[in-house]
Amino acid sequence: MTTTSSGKRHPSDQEALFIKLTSALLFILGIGILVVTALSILNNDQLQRAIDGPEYAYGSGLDVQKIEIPNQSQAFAVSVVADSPAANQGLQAGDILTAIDSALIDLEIMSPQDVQNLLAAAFSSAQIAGNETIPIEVNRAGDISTIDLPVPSVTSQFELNIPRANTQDIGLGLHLLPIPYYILDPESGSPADADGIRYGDLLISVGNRQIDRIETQVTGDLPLEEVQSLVREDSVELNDDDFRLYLTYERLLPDGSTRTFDGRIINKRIPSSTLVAFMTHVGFVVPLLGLFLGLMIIQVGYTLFQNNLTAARWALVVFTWLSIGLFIVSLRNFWTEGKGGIVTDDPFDYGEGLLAALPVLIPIIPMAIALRWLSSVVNDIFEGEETLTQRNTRFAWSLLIPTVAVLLIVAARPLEQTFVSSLTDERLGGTQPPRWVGIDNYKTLLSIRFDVVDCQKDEDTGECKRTATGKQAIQWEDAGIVEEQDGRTLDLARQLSPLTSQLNSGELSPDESENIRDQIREISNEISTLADNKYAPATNIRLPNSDKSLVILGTDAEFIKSIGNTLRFTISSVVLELILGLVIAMVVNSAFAGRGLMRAAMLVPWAIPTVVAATLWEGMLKPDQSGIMNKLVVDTLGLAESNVQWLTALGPWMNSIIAVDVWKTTPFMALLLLAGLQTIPQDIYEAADVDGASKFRQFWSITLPLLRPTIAIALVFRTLDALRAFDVFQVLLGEDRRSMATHNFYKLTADNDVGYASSVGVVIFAFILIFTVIYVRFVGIDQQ
Amino acid sequence: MSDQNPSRTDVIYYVNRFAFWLLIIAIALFTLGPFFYAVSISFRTNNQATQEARYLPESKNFTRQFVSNFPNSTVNITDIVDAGNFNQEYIEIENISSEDVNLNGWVISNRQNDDIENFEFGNVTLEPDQNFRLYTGTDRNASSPTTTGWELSEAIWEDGNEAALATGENNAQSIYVVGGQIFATRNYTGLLDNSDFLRSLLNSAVVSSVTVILALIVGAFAAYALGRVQFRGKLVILYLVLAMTMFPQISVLSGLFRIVKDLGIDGSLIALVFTYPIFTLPFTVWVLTSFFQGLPDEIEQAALVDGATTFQTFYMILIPLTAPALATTGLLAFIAAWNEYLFALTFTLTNPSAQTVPPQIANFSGLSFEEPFTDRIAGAVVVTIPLLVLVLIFQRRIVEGLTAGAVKG
Repeated sequence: MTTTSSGKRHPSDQEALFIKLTSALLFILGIGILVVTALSILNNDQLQRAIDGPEYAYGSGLDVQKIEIPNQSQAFAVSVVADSPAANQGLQAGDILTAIDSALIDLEIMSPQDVQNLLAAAFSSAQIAGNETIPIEVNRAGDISTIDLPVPSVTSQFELNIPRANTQDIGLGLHLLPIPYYILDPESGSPADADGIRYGDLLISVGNRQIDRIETQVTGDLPLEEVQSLVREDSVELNDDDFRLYLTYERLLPDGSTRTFDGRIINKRIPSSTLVAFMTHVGFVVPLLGLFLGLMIIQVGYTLFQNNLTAARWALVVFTWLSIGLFIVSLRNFWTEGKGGIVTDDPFDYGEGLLAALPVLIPIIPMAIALRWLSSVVNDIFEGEETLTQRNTRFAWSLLIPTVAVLLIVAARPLEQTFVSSLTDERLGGTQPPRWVGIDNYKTLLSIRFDVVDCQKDEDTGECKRTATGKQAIQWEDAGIVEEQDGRTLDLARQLSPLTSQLNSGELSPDESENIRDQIREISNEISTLADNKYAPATNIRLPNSDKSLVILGTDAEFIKSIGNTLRFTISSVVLELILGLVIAMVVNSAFAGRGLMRAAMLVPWAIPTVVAATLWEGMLKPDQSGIMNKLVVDTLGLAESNVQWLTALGPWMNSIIAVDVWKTTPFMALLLLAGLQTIPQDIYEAADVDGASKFRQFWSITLPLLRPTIAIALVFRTLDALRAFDVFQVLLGEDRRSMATHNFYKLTADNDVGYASSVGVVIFAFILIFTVIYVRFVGIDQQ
Repeated sequence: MSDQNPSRTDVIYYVNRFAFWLLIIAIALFTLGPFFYAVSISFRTNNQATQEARYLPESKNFTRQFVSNFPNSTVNITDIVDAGNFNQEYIEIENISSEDVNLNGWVISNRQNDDIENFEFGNVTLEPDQNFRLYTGTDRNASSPTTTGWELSEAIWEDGNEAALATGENNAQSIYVVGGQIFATRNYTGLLDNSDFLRSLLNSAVVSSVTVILALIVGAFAAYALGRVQFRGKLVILYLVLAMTMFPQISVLSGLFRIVKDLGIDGSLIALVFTYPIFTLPFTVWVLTSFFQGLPDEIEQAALVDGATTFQTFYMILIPLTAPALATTGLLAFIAAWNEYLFALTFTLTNPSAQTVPPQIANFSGLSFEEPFTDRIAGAVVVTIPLLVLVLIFQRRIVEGLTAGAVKG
């Protein structure tokens, strides 16, 4: 409103030069941001690595398999990649691994994955400690020797790619051991492994091509490269990204005899596509942010050049926030470079830190000069007027910049990654790169069917049978869909066995056997599809006035159940918290001796760390007399005859956890409402007194409406929190009865299924989003 | 605000004095009951042997698991104790001879009995110098137990159940049966000796304070723009901010971890300060926005007429007026940051010395088979106290806000 055109003067020559310099500075900054953004994408090691495909196991050229040994039960044998550090240290394929870095390998309890994890852990702790090798102990035909295995550095992982080109790029997880090369060596958990190929199987033929057996360690007629290309040449029948491969191989059985397997069909899994790699490691949020910022600053520079007032004011905003941003970046550089690593005993290196921080600070100097000069002359020499809308917009955005920055970097980027990963089959600690699976995860998660079932009749009375325990629940017949599925699977399995016996009879021509293989494959595919998409009953809803019940079935029944649990939990706990919170807020708003103490006391439950609070309640709600709640209810108050099973499936578990949550989070509600009560002016009530309104009416017609914005916000945040409830469910109920968030958690930690867990997260997000939009309309938050 | 003329926003205006005090007592019981219970159990030792294991490192193996694995030829101690209805108790075995003793393959190391206190054992109190002895027959169901160098010397009869204690002939190996929960301040003294815990307290204080300051500055800026300035895209921003809280923490964890690693700040307090806005910022922005909206327009206009710049109006007039909201959201954000567990655990995996209190308390389990329940509770009590002090200080601010609001008239 001080932007009048009067009093404007023509810029002097010097000032005109300054304007040009300032816009040049903006140009340079804008281009700089674009260049930094582009470089961060083009020069991204992780992205490059992801596109190049998987690396060898921990970069040592060492892989571990659990194998069966004749006359001995099991062992962990290593397979070694030629020319790798492991091979150079004298490790040979088939050596039995007995210890890694003085940790003994326990055959009873460890899986190959555990051993690999142990190896990885030993490597990483060696890297942290700065050791170059770790000792491993191997047993080769009874001789135990210790070998110092070089710790792979990040760069050496890349130098080990010779064997990878030969084997892993076909995506089977199948290695051909170079010496002697016909030993098959599947990566554990890979398609080859899943298809039953075991370490030590001898390759006999690929497709129709016979591989000659070589008994010595001398390279035979077919060089390794040719065998491997054979494996690839045979991958002709491409079907999407899958192909099949017929391998014949021979296995030495424990009794010394050999057995030949053939006709294995192996599905190919391609390495992570460039798109998936790009979205996982770069994404769109950060590049678009860089692009937008760079272009915007260039645009501001361009308009400033034309002596425009609005641009000049925007330039001020740009200079201010960019300086602050660069300052934060320089602080970060100072800290990370000066520290020199995460765990290090070295003293903080101020020199290094300053060296890393100062270059970032340099652009601040011209910006500060430009800022100071520009702000002193901005209203005098620039042309044009700013409308109120323009001014408001600029002012609002200049205040919102830090929030938007946090929003994009801390929230949007991880959320984007979650979304991308939900469209892949990424696994925690998986050896395969994540593969694009489209909406498969969502299909499994959200497929629902309905079925109507009868109750089980009691033969004597003709009434519905009820369970002896629990809440007298009615026993229902199984859902028809489940029986149907099982029947179909059984039928398919029956079709399968004559086909396989035909195939094994050996009397078929190649064409006929090919035909039968196709049939077998089709049937097996259908069986596995059925198994993957098997519907299971999630919940029963009894239809009114009948002996029938509606069953909701889902392919992920646990998730459907968890939705129900979460909704029940949310509605009850939020309503109770609102009422209790309002009462508490109005009590501690009253004037009485000890009000301050009471306000502190009120916040105690909220102040106890949730993890510990849940553990505390777990102790209090023990199902026997050792839990204080039972002691209280049964002994002291005599409310119940016998101990209450607070948390078991047959007990009032939902009410119990609602009670715990109400106890824990009512203070949040109460404190917000208390602050809201403070802003209600008292003089409004005087008018009500004059009108003779009753107390109740005053509360209902004045206090509540005036408190409404606060109530609305408190409700929204509590509801969102309750819909994401995690700690209470996780600590008190464990894996059996889940909330949506704990379902997400268990999918991630128990099943290691990152892709699927991410899709659960996205569905929760969508669910809460829809809920919020409706809810906010209903509560009326945006009516101002 | 005097007692004669209570505010209409107070409960005391609606109910009589008696009911009012009843309400106060009920609320105090509701909020403080479990807390006082927590305080009371924090002065007890654990039900399980973990406490002993922690204090007597050499007896680490003497948990229930050890007992149930006790060599076959001897009595199953757990059974005896259970028969006496002492299923709350655990057993400690102590060797007070001058040498380690090999008991059917289990080496029980030598330790002087200086740590044993009076312990409750059902209705019987055992004294440390009493040689209560454990009966260890080869077959405890046999009418006359054959002993292997041990013989029954004493038995306690209670409720018709036998709780027997025996000692070896040469008295070199005495076995004590120790009651489970005894009064002790050792949970607290243990915390004070635990330098990791003390450092995590400091970490928590630093992280929470910085988080709150940042959240309030950034949040107040945004809330002022969203609450008092008319511009396009306002609702979109409000809902985008809200959308930050719609993902479960667990599902943004891996993405956030990658960013933290890429920035090179993992394993430091900076990582926590950097990521905590994801849950502190949304409600700070929303609550403050609603408070800014609630302020009358005249204030701002009057200030502008007086010649104040917009920014001056913001920090000299509007910010003081929203003091109660700032104090409230600040408190809530502080507590949320103070109690945050998942991020604190994940982002400090590489450097546990940067851990805050909650993962530190959860880590108490490190040494043993059973949950160190009472240690954790003691830890929780300790970390709750600074928050209570903070509330006591800041609740005055909330009251000040009342007077500040009254001035506007």
